[in-house]
Amino acid sequence: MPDANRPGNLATRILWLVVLSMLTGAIVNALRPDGGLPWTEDWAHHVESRARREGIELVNAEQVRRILEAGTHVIFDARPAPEYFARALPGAISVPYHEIEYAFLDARIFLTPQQPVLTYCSDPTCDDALLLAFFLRDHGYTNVVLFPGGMSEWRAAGYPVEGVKVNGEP
Amino acid sequence: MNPRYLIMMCRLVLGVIFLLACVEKILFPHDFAMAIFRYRLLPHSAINPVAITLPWMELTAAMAIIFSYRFRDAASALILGMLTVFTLGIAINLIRGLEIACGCTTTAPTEDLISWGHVFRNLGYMFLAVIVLKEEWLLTRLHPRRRPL
Repeated sequence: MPDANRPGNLATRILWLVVLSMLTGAIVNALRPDGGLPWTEDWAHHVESRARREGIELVNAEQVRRILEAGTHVIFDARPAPEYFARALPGAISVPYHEIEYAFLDARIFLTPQQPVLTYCSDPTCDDALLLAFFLRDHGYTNVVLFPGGMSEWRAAGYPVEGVKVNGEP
Repeated sequence: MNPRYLIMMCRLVLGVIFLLACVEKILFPHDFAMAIFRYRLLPHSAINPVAITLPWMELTAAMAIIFSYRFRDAASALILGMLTVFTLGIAINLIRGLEIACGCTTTAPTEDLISWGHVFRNLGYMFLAVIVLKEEWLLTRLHPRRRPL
C-alpha cells in the first residue's frame, strides 16, 4: 500500500532528489564568481597543462637521459616508496609526495636553493611529481623541472632503471 | 528506548556525516575533481560533471534524511547507493596499491589517505542506511497514514 503522505513510489522520490541535486549543482556552478568548473576538461594532459600554466619547465625522456649523464640535477621520485624500490630512474631519491612532511626532512640535505631538481612519478596522469615541484618551489627551490611522462615514458623509451624489479618483472 | 528514536539517531548520524562531507567539495570543486581524477576509475569526460553534481547530491540527501518526512526513504536509499560506490572505489584502489587521498571530507591530496579502515567505516554507515531504509519501508507498509516522527 503506498504511503498517503509521500509523493509517488520510492524510485520516483529518488529520481526527484537526484534531479534536484543536479539542477542545483549546475545552477550554482554557473553562478560562481570564477566562472565555475568547466563541464569538460582535458584530464589526459592535465598535469602538463597545469605545469605550463604555473611556469614549471617540462622535460621528456631524452632530455632526462642527458640530464642524468650530465649529473646536474638531483632526481626526486615522488611515487610511494614501494614503487620506488621496485623500479626507479638511476640515482633517483625517494621523496613520496603523500608523506612529504617526513620525506622532505631527509630530502632537503641534498638541496641548496639554486640546486637544479627534477621530479617525476609514474605516468602522465599522475600529479604527485607536479605537486612536489610546487612544494619545492614554495619552499624556495626555484630551479625545478618536471618529467611528466614519468616511469612509463622512461621505460617505453628503453632507458635503464634501478630497483628490485629490473629484470623484466611487470 | 523507543526504537523509532534509535532510527532517528541513525538518520541524524548519516545526515550530519554527509553534510560535513559535502562542504569542502562544494567550496573547492576543482580540488574535488582532482580527487576524483586520482581514483583513476571514471572516464575523463565524467570527472567534472560528477565533481559539479555529487556534492549537491550529498547535501540534498543529508537535508532530506534529517528534515524531510516525504523523502526520508529516498534519501536513505540514495545515501546507501553513494556509500556503495564510494566503498567500491576505495576498495578497488587499495587492491591496485594506489596511495591516494580519500577525498571523503577533505580534498587535500596528502590528507586522509585511503585505507581498509575507510572501507569498514563505510560498511558501518551502509548498515545505518539499511536500518533507516528498512524501517521506513516497513512503516510505510504497516502504517501508511501514520504521523511522522
